[in-house]
Amino acid sequence: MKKTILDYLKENHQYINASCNGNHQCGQCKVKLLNRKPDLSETEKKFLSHEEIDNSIILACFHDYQKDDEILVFDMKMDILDTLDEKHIHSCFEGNGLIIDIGTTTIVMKWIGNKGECLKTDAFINPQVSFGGDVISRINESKKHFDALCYCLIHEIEQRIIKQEMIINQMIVCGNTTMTHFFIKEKVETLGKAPFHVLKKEMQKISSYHIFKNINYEFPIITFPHISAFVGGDIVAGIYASDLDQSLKKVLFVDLGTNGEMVLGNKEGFIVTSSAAGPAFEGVGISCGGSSINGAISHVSLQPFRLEVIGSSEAQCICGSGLISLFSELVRNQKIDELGHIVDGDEIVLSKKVKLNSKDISHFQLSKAAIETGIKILLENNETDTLYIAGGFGTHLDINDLKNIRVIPQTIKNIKYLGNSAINGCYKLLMSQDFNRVNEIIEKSQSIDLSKHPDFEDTFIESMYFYDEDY
Amino acid sequence: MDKLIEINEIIQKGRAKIAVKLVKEALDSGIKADTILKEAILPAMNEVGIKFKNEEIFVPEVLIAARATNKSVEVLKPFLSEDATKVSGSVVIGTVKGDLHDIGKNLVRIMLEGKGIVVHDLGTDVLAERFVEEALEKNVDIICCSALLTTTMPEMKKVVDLVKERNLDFKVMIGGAPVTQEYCDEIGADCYTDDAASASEEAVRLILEKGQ
Repeated sequence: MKKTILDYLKENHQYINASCNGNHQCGQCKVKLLNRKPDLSETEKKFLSHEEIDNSIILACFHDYQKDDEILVFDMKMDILDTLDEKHIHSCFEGNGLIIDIGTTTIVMKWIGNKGECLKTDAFINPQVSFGGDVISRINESKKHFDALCYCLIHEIEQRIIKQEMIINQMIVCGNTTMTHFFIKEKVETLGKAPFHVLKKEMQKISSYHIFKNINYEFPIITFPHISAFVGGDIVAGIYASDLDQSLKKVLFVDLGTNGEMVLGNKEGFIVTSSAAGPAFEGVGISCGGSSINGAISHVSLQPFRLEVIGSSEAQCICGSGLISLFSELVRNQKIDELGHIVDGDEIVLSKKVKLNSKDISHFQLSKAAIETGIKILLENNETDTLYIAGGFGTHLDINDLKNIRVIPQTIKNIKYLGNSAINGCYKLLMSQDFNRVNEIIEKSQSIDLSKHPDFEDTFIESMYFYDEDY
Repeated sequence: MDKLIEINEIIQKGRAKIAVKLVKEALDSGIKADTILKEAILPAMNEVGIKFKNEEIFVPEVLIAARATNKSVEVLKPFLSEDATKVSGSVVIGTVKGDLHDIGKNLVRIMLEGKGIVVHDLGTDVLAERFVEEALEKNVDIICCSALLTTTMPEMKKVVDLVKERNLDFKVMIGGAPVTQEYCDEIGADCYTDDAASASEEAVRLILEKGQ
């Protein structure tokens, strides 16, 4: 069977971004082909600028690999949040630790010295992005390429450990349920379809020899446990890092992303759920959308008109936080109606290159509704005035913008931005060695499935409105 | 009749509460339930389907309009004649085993209902065997399967295989974000469309073909 350049690169452990996993849909797997100039199809041309075409840039999934092809790949760049909260930590751990947060898109590793100090941080793109952008596409790929998926992830981490030349005494791992399973080489298929059974829900303690083949000494690896297939160790780490499990007051904890995770609770216990928001919050599916890279609009003000652009360059696209601030402004200035129709004209024009059409608005609307539904159902019989927002994306969000587009209820008065609470949870666990406390979080958490909730459909439809009215 | 035009418009706008109020008023003023259904509600949903296909409106609005339709039909139901509920064709529809997504399936259901087809909605996470059993019991023309996950798509093949094995006379239509025409050909399903409005048109075509 013929293989594409993308397949060839993967086989040779060159992992480039390919959110749609070679289905000609995302336009991300750009490479430079040096030795020949193949014909480009119309579909492919849509994803490339004139400059890129002139510069021999092609999409790796569109072309078959030919012997002698010379391919230049680009480094994957991304804004990765990796702040560590080192204060008030009393260390119960002696030796050097390694903590790691394995995200679907990004991975953060930190080497911690014996005084609890962070010696080195490595943040990089998860090489599995070559197999698709989201968890489901990885699970699907694992049917055929399970070993390759485990290998690329583990190998990348192992190489970085070896390069650091520091003896590690303990490693703490957190990640979403699927990523953690890949890391410990556990089957992931059951995570991809109902009833979404989790094979290894509990905290795992395993020998480094079981995971890494090229590290010639042994140390224990401990992984955060999971609540469900969709609410994983990264969220448990976040709950632990933010002391939610000791809070008297009920708090709403959210991590917004392709899969939005939501937790409500206090020391008595938690209810958790997740909602597939789709990638619109990351700019995918929006015609001028993009991730938070240079040239992305990150904040919008309509009156007076002002755009904040990352890197202060010319606006090229709009990222998730920019979209949320834009929609808040559109609602505030009544530029869209309750259903998201543009009041005046066919497009929302922000700059020469960045425009939104009705279809973009509808994509955003569905994402917003998904998150809003989750939050509404969690808050059905509960009240809280405090919101914790986890994750890099959340740090850039304004509480008033979220209220304006109704994603969070008006009753929220206090908001706390947690940053990367997953890596902070790992750090705290390394320092405290209090594994029991983390296990107790799992014991007192109850997961609810939104789609099986009797009010799901109605709540979801109501959540698509941009204004609070009775329809 | 102005009232019917008004109901049609308000359903397209998705105003469920106003739609229900208008439908009640229309009934009170002596307009037959059958007339309200056939001349206001179904044309409204058909119009929504056309606008959706032409990309004048998108998923959120279709769902909102559908809710207005459902609430209106609930009011009408007790007053509808047997004649109005007797239609040319019927289907069973569901999202396959292992898959809990229902928005895409609901869109298709709405579009089919807009064409006057009777739809038996089996919900989500539906076993292949159940599709076939329900199809037999309800004596439908078409089995419609939806899958939104690449991990659950193979379940569609099971439905197709069951229909073939048991030599049954059902057409199988498939759809969902990851599904393609190639996949449809590969598993031997009868029909695939890439949007809900086309699905309803194809369903009408299949039913007519069968009737001949």
